[in-house]
Amino acid sequence: MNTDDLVERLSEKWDLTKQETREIVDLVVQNMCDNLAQGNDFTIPELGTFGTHTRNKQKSYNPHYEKYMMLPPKRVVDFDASRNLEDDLKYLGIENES
Amino acid sequence: MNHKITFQELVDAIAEQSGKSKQFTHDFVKDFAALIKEGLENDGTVNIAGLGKFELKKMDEREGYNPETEEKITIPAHNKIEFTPYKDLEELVNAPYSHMEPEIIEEETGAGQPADEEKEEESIEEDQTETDSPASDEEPGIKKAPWEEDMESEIEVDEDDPFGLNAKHKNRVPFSFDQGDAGKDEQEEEGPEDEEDVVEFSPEIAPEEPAEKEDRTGEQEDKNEEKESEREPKTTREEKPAAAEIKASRKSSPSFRDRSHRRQNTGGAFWIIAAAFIVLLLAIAAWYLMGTQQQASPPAAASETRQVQGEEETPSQDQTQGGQPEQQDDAVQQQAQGEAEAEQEAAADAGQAASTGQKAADQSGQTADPDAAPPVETITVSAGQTLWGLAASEYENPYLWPWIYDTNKPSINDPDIIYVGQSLDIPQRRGQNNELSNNDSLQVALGYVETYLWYKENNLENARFYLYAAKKYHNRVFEYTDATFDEDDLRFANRAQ
Repeated sequence: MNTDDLVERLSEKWDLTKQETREIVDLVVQNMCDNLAQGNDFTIPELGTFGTHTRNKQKSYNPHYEKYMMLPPKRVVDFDASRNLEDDLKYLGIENES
Repeated sequence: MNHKITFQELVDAIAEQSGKSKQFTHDFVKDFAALIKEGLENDGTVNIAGLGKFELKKMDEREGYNPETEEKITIPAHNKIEFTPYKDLEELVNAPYSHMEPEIIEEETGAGQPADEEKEEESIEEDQTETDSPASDEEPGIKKAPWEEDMESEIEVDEDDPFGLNAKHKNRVPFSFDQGDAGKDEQEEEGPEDEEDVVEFSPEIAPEEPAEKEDRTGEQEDKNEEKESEREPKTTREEKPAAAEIKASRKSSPSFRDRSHRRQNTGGAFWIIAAAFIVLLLAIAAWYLMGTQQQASPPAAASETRQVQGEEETPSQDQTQGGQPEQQDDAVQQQAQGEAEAEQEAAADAGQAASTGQKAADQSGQTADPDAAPPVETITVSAGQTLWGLAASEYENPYLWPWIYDTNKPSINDPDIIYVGQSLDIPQRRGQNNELSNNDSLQVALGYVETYLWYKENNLENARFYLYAAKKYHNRVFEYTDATFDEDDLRFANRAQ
């Protein structure tokens, strides 16, 4: 599923044109990105918590240069799926196999 | 650690931007989430443009360990939800550190130095503990004065972290401790791009100026070495080579610092160069304008000529048109400057000008139809006004200014100069829908002829364009005037249709 599908479904449900829906979806996404960029955490119910944390600098071995590299610290996005979502999907498709 | 905003706040912000109701936005975003869930159920992946990709990842069965009961347990196969942010979002989030690149650690190339590696790892761990509980001294054995502690934290940058990465890494510190110091570090290391972060962390005011601090780093390194020697005896034998190595690496430490500073400097230099370039351009433009002013006396008219030309011949003379407003603004200055000139010219050409002026007046008197004398409105010139500007405001077409000139011929010596307090008769156009009546356009054409004659008399190079414009405004204008024209100019004008 991609954004187009999402927009189509949402526009059907809310009786909006696709363009309108697209604008709102873009706004939602943009707001989420802005908040993450500012270092804010937020939770979307039934989906999960978005946030950021800073990864320490770390030493790693680069096999190409055959040397150790000091990787700079990095701020990365966290996503923690909500309990409900996780539980609902936990054994999806696995029950059939086992 | 991070500032947390509630779902409601997020929804409110979106609602405000979208102009929809809060309730709608609330439900919409919830639906958005529900659809992502549905997509995960159906496809296993959901790709949201600009945000990222949610993915259901299958984890195989594996053995685990229950720390409470200390028993081995089997973790059954299950799905894990993974979120991979888009590159754009990743870069946006990582903006504070984006200027840092991985550095090769030269000293660590040799194999068979497990002790050193351990030491290195230890130091990293130390860093972590320091950031988590930075209040505790790194080496409790050594007591330090508070100011020394302060220095120590700076020295750490050199010592444990030859590449100055520690300074970044200390970003975590401000939340718990040492805000002033961390803020200072940021100011020094990261420069303006991190101002936002500094604000966000609300650091206390840095006790020292960054510049001062930089000056001090030299001394600190010296002191640092002293400390190093103090500390060495206390360290174990294994650590000794490591310490030496660290020393060596510290010598290379300026490379990173220098680089970061250089980046800042080049950024600043770039803007300075850009500013200098713009100023230079402005100066050239001003010089050019002054040049045309001297060459063609009043530039307003000169550029008007060009505009006439541009309008009717070559539509690509945007530049001269762009320059026009400036010239109008300069009109007052020009008047002041041009006054002396104009007087001289007037004196020199008095005889000719008078004769042609009379002639022209006669012409316009003869050529105008009996009912042609247009209604006239008298205005008084105020500062900054030009014929061009008057025509623009009266007729909404500045190109009609020769009409005003022609009407006021006796009182205007130089069509490019009018004086404050002078009263001018503004002929009122009688055409409809912004079209000139036939009679009016004849008047305008005659005005252009007059302007041409004046320019020709004063040997201004653009004179022929006025003749061209006259022809353009009224095809048979030359039948209404008995003035003599230069043949070349007439040929040029006759190309107009």
